Amino acid sequence: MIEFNQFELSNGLKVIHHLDETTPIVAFNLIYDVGARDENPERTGFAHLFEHLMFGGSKHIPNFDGPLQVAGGQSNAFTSNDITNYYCTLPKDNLETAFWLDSDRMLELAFTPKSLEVQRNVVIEEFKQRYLNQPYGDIWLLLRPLAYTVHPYQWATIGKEIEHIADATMDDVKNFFYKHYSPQNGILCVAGDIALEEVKYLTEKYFGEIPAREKYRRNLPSEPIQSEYRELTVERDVPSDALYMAFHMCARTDKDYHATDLVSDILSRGKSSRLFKGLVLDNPKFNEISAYVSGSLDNGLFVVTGKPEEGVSLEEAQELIWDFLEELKNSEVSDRELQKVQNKVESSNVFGEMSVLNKAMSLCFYELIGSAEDINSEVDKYRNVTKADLLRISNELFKKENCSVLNYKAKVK
Amino acid sequence: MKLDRNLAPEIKLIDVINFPAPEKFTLSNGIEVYGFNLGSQEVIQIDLTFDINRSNAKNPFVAKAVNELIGETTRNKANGVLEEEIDFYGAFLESNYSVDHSSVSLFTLTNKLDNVLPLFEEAVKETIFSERELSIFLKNQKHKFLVQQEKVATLARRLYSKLLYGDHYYGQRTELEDFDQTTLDDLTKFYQDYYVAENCSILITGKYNEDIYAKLDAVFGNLKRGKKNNSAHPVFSNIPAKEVHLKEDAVQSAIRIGKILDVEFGSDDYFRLKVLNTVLGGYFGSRLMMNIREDKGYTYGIGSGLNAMLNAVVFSIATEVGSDVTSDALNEIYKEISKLCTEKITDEELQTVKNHMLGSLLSASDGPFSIAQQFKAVNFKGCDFSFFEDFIRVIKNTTSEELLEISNKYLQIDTMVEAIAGKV
Repeated sequence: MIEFNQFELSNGLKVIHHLDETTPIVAFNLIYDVGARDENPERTGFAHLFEHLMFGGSKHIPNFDGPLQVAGGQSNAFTSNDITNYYCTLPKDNLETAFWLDSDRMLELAFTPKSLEVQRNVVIEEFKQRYLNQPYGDIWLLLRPLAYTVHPYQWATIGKEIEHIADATMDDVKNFFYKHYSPQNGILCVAGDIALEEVKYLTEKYFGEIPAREKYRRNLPSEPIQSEYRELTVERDVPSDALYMAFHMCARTDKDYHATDLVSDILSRGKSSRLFKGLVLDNPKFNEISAYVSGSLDNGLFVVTGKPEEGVSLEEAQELIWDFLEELKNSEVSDRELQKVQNKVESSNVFGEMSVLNKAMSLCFYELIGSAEDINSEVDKYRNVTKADLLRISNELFKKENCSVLNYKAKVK
Repeated sequence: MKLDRNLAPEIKLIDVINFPAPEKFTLSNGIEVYGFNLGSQEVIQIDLTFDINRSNAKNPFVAKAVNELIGETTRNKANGVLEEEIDFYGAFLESNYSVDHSSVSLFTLTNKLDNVLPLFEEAVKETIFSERELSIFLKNQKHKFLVQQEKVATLARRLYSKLLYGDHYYGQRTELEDFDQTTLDDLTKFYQDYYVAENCSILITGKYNEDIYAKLDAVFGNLKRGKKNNSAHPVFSNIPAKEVHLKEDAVQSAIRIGKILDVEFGSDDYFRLKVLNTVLGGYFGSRLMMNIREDKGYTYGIGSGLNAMLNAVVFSIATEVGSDVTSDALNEIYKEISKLCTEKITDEELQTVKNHMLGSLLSASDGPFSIAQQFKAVNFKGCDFSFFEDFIRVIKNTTSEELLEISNKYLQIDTMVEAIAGKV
């Protein structure tokens, strides 16, 4: 049970406070309700590029990291298709430094041309390092546009192509900032050995005077229900074939999310899971295999992926996987199997709450998708899933016409 | 009063960092147990670490194979059965290995300890290796190996290791043919030689009752003693060298530069080198990051570090840069190392680094698992938490004059090795 307090400033900034007296460190986490899905289709990769620029100096402070390091703190951020999350950890006595720094960059960025020029290059190198110069690195650049025809999930957070990043202008940066980085779009959590009154005082002092700005109303095209099987085959210079099967599933906030997540656990969590035991150990047709859910805030993807062993064609590999999916559609899982994945969720949840930073991030995330209260009922939601739920969900998900397949073939040398 | 945003809030310097001393207990067969009964979450980690020597096996892959197959098949349970039982209680096993150690860890909720401890015992003591299981494992590992070999980072790391260690067994690398030549006997022998009490120490962390020591003694106090492994095998200074592993289609080149340091772990010089390393490439504001990423935009990231092993302390710089700017990046890296040897660090920069390092140490003292990891990182060298007291003293007191001297003593460019994979 995680206890916390909440309040809101008049400009719309939501604040969560969590007291943890056991740690000398305080976590300062600020989530913004903006991600790659909010990008202009001609300027993809921008939310992530922008995250880099947030460290390039703000109106009164030329460099974000310098003063934080002097205060003994550390900071980083990440961008997903849905959200952008900034965080600092620092000695609790120096918490005010985080308020000073993060409020100034919400107030206004420095918008220096040098920062834009350098970070464009840095992000292009990141694009190369993670997506182009790695075996199988471009999978998501191929799979997303196959599974999504109109929804912005059709591009990855890094963007569709390097040119979109290379072409970003200062006007783009400014527009993006004023559209998305308003107090109304942010949720702050401060967690550590800090009194609520102190957090209230510092929040009002540093964030109180920032104008509310215009509220951004998200209005994204929803992805039509897929009605035909899709398949894309590519050849790449990799050591072996890989198979990706993506099924449309519900959103993170849907009542069926937890059951869907457990279906993926039944299939592939741990070495006793069905796919690993079935197709890697008992009937070794795959070198590796896994299933997972994207957990995205709009309708997501349920992915089954594997690398068939030499001599097993991608067609055969897909049929082998279908056998397991059909089994889930035709018969209920055992009580023990369901209990196993539920127990696993419970323990990973407890292990996930070991640091103040993790707690602060989770509190912000739950508040963003509904209510911070949900952090304490998450395990129960998994516990309440029944065998009948898993059967129903499997029948909804695993239909040929709901499936997009990427055949990633090794070039014959 | 209007807020003046140009003024930074006052900061307090970190004075004291508390690393609580571990509880100590010795099992019937002599295994030392260290315990950190800390934290607010009802979880426990039990970590068994074994001293190993990879060079006594047929190839370096044997150590990894044994480590990863622990618990998969046991005397009484077919492949996967034990793991299913551990999974059922929501617990999990994790195995790790390095050149000097293999470890097997159990993570569990405190209220499931009694259910899973016998299963953990079985994994550690009763593992057997079967022909079928090994062949599947080797096939899958060979596949992973081939994927890794496509990465410039892997190629550079392997080349670097060869240049750095020469004939020493630290330089041994797994080769493709090792997957065809590793046998059941190799695994069984390694398991029997090293996964024994004489080579074992135990670390427990989390929230537990005092009777945990008795419980541990009941399950591991009778682990067979075996023979103590002697891994002491000094590594001598590297021979300076440069080599390129050409990969024509690479859009980035991986760079590794560094050397074996003739410095004693935990000495004042060692700690000063830690400070120097931080200045150069040990944090986001480091000179390498500021120059090569934040000024030139050549890379997504660059860093440097000191790696302390049983027989050597190694200093390394690692990065991946655009292929077209590989030689420019190299020039800048060497410029930054030379600068450490010729110019004094300014007071302002040194103070930032000191504050940052103390802040990191404070973070490292946050939470039971982190504290236990810090302890493990010094205990294998025979040190305790007084290591950190010394470290903090040196961080606070070291001067830019001392650091200039240390740079010249240890970080001369012409003593280093350089490994590149990609295009130059």
